Amino acid sequence: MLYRARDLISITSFGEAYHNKPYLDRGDAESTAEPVCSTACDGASKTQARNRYPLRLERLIGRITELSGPAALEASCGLLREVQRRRGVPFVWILAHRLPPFAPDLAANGIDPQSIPFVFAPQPVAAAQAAERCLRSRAFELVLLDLTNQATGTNRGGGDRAAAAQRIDDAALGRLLRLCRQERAALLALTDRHGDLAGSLVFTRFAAARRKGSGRSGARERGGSDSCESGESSADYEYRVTLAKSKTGRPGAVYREVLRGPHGML
Amino acid sequence: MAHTACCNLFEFALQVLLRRVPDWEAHPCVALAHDTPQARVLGCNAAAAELGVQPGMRYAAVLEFAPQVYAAGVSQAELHQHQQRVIAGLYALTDEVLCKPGDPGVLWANAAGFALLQGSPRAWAQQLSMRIERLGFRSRIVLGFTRFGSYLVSAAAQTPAVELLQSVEDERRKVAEVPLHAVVTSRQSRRRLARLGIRTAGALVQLPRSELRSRFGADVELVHRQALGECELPAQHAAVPVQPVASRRPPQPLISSEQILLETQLLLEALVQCLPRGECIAALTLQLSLDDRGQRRERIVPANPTEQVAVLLRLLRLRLERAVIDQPVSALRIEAELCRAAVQQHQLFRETVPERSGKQAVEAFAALRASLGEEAVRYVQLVPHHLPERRVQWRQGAGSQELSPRGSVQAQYADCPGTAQMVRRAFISPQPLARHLLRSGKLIGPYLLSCDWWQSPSRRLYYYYVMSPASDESTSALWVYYDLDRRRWMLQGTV
Repeated sequence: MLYRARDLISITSFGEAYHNKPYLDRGDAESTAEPVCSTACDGASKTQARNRYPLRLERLIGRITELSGPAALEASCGLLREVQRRRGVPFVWILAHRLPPFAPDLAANGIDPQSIPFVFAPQPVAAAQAAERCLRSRAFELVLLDLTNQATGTNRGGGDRAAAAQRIDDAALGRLLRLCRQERAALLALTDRHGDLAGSLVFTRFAAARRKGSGRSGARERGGSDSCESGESSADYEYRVTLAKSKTGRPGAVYREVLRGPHGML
Repeated sequence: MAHTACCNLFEFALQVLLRRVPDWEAHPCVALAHDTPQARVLGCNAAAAELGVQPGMRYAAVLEFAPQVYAAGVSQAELHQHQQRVIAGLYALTDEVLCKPGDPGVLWANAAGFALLQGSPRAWAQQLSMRIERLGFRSRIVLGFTRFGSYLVSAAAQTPAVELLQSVEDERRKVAEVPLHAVVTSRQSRRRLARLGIRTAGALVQLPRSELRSRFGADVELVHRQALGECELPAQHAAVPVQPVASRRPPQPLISSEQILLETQLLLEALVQCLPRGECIAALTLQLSLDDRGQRRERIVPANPTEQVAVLLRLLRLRLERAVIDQPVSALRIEAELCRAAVQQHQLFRETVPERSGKQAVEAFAALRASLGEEAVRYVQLVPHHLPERRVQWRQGAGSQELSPRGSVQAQYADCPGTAQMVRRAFISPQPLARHLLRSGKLIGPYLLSCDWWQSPSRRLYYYYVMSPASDESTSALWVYYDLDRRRWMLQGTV
């Protein structure tokens, strides 16, 4: 009890300074160990230089990249925004299931969902064939291959054997990689778990996790812009993108960003 | 007895446009030659005419004084396609159809002999009118003796009706009453003639011909000659539209898709050779008659209208590869939907294609639709509504223009940086959910959503179902609701 009271006194006395500190340098055990930084306008240029959004188009061109985990959608939003900002870089979203992203949420993340062509394939193998066709057409610079199965309890069945039968084989991955290099395009695969897209042909693997945050919204972190819909009835979360595998660099780098939950999800 | 019937499909371009977008009929709307600001107005409805819009104006000029006007382009290919449908309909009642060059809405049907088959010339003309109406167009039919006279009388008529001219004198008398704006197209010539007090075709005929060409131009002189019966309106013979259908019954039933493709190739080659000049295949329907008397239809749409057999065969191959045909095929029939070929489709050399273009994307989507089904490629349209599944409408995009993002969404986001939001996934239509799946986790909610109380009320209690609340790392949740009216749990999506 005494310990908590002491903490309270220290927070009260350094209140303003505490709140102005960078979000990820708040004494979290992880933040000291990992090369992370916030997207906050904290003025810490060194931290900002280290903490850059890892999914940038020029780094994905000619490669197959896997982004796995429950926060894969949120993590890919930055890339999609970048692609849409650069006019003349069309991309296609190929889904191997019937659970597309909720378009108003994409729009809330600054992505125009009405200009995205969604291709619905019945299974991952067909989705890979569709991706191959799209790459071969030379029309797209980014192909987003959505292989998540979303364990909803309603669409999962058949066990590992069925999953193995639906897995994209190395030959198909090899063709995709060759097309990516040949056509100067990027293939980003969204998967459920790390390693779902098997094989050594995947150049970079990212793991995107999501967890409930500290309860302080991102808008307040950045100086309290009340014009933005911070949402009293929505909780704050954060997502982390961890570099799990890279053929050129050392894995382990983490990127974090504060995330607003949907309304009602406390 | 009358010789010819003029079928005047007045404001043809506008009628074609309103067939495409029927909701615009209640609003001021214009049909344009192209979808560009500099395009000419081909036709306008009465509401637009009240605002001052006239055919021949540029769309940019119209927008200056009537920005509320609804407008869309009607291509020559589309006009030609509908004209061919009307011509094919008229050929059921006559043996010769002529069309007016430059005006696809004006057709003449030969009445000789056919009027007696229907009992009277008026009954025959009414048959013509009904047939055109069945095709979705309104027309004025004038049964006359000359093309010029019947056309002028039909152009001057105010309402869609059937009119029968009794004699040549009757036709001349009616022509003489026709106002000048229906006869002389040049506005400048009309203004000059109006200064002389000439406001009808009859008054124009009274003028001496010697000075007409030098004072008013060659077109006025030509009208003068036509009104006196010295020459006729130019007309072009409209050939009987080719029925783009080919069928074949192979000697042995076809078992494999390769055999079907081979037979289809033979049919396609025969069909393409019979295509009318300047026509291309916009869509192709393959009908397979199976041994168990069943039928199977496959429809493919190429990215662009084409007459290349290889392109169509490639799409057919993609479609048949995934199709399961468990019965032998006893007969094949292909039916093509034709459209006018654009000029660039007949260029000798292929142009240098830019690195990445929307055209390539459209071609890729056509191939994907052929292999995965027509619903394979879809675009989202955001609609303001309370229910989540109705906020998103899925539609099939047609052109490459869909690929360019709107800046407004990005601009809104740019105003509030750093406000990333969790992205949910939602089923296209909610799925039923078994209640026992919601036992172990934690339900967050409820949030009542009640809407559409004025027609079919819908009351839902929305929850987020967190599957593993103890785990800090994973916050995956189901987005579910309980339908109070149907008394069942539904799965909206996932978080």
